[in-house]
Amino acid sequence: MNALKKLALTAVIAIPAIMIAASNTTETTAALTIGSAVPDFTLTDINGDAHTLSDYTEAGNIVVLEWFSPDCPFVRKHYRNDTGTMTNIQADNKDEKIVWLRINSGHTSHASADIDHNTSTAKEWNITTPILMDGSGKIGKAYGAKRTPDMYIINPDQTLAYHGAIDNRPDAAAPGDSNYVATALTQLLAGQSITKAETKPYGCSIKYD
Amino acid sequence: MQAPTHMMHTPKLPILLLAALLTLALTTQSHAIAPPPQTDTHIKAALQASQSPVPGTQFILALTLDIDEHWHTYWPGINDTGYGISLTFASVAGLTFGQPLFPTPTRHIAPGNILDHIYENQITIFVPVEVDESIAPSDSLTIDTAIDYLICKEVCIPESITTSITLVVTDMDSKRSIRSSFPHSELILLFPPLLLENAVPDDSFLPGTPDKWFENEIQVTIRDAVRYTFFPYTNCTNPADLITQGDTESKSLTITFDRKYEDDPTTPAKLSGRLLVTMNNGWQKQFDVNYTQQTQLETSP
Repeated sequence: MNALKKLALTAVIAIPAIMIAASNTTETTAALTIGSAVPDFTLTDINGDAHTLSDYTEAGNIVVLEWFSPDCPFVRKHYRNDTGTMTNIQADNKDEKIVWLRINSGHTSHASADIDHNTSTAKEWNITTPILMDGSGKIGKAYGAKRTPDMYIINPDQTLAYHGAIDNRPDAAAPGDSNYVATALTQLLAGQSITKAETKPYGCSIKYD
Repeated sequence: MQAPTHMMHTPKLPILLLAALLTLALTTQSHAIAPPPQTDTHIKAALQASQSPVPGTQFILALTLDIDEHWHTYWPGINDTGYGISLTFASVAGLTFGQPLFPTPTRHIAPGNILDHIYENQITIFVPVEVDESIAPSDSLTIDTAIDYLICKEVCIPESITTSITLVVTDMDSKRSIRSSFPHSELILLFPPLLLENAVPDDSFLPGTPDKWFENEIQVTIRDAVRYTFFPYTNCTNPADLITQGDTESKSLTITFDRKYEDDPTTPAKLSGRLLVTMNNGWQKQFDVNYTQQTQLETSP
């Protein structure tokens, strides 16, 4: 038994040597709350056109912000031919005053932030609305976006109506059976309060560096 | 007075571990048939057994995952991104697989305050297995395991791999067929408290005052501890600020819960996960903790 204890103690002492140092690096990022005003921004899309959030909201639109990466499997599962989650929601609401903006906050050094790559992906995935490039990550951090897809719905008064996941299945295999964004949009358009205004987002990390 | 706390230490594991260690030096008699190597994935998996199955006893499976350099995968607990490793054992008549025991991960904080608990390089997951008394010696049992995970570097890729091991059931007299290559040292590293005296938090453990519980906060104090690192399981109530509170040089660990995602935030909060504690002598101890807010506190004045 003594030998066993010695062995165990040796193991315990050895732990510090194999531990990888934890980073204590933290940054100041936004903590947007439901009902609070969201930051305005102007970003350029993959075609070189500028888009300003307040231009859309002041025109009475609800704005959906989808943090986007063409290389993330959690995003890809919602754009497959057999799913089409994102584009289907847009199609279902094509007659409503809803603007859908994708934002790529990946650092410009990453392949996922390459404009040509995003352009070809948009074509492959039948994306017809803007993909905005945020290579500095300034807007992503201002919103506290951490992953793709990270979903925000903005009211016409530029306050936050919804933040969270696209649906209730946090894996990369298939969409869930309850789409939070579709439900929230339906409720907003009906003048109802959103029953689930905050859900736990899931996805790939945004490559801010 | 705040009540009970519950430490989960997988009760039968110490006996298994001691038995495995006692037989460590004995002659190896391999009964395993190695599966073909996997070459097109970023993780290679291999199964080992602590010993041959003996009817009416238990043994430990060690699933070793070799992760490609510079890639990482995820702890099956709370992370900001990704999803955790999951294991699926195909049913084998006469064998009952216990809860997998995952190694303690490392914290990885990326720009944007993105906190993940990750695994790199090589890890070993231990699985206790019960052998039914009805199994006959000399029977051959093949254990097939499917491993699903997300592997990330510049990009993330969902992968699924399988591995298997074939073991021959032996009787008690032949139980010395311990595998000399079984990773006993890693098992000890994963659960050092099992072999240490005074490793369980002392009786003065104070999970916070009732008022703090009402504020969705728990405070854990372990005697002589100077640093706490907490890795929540998925059934833990969502921590509000794990970047700051989940790794702290302090005599106590304080975790504040964020219950905005819950349908019913009035249900008792739960602190569930792996706790890594550094003591004032520099040693480290690891615990699986599972503390539930006491419902009677909610009616306290």
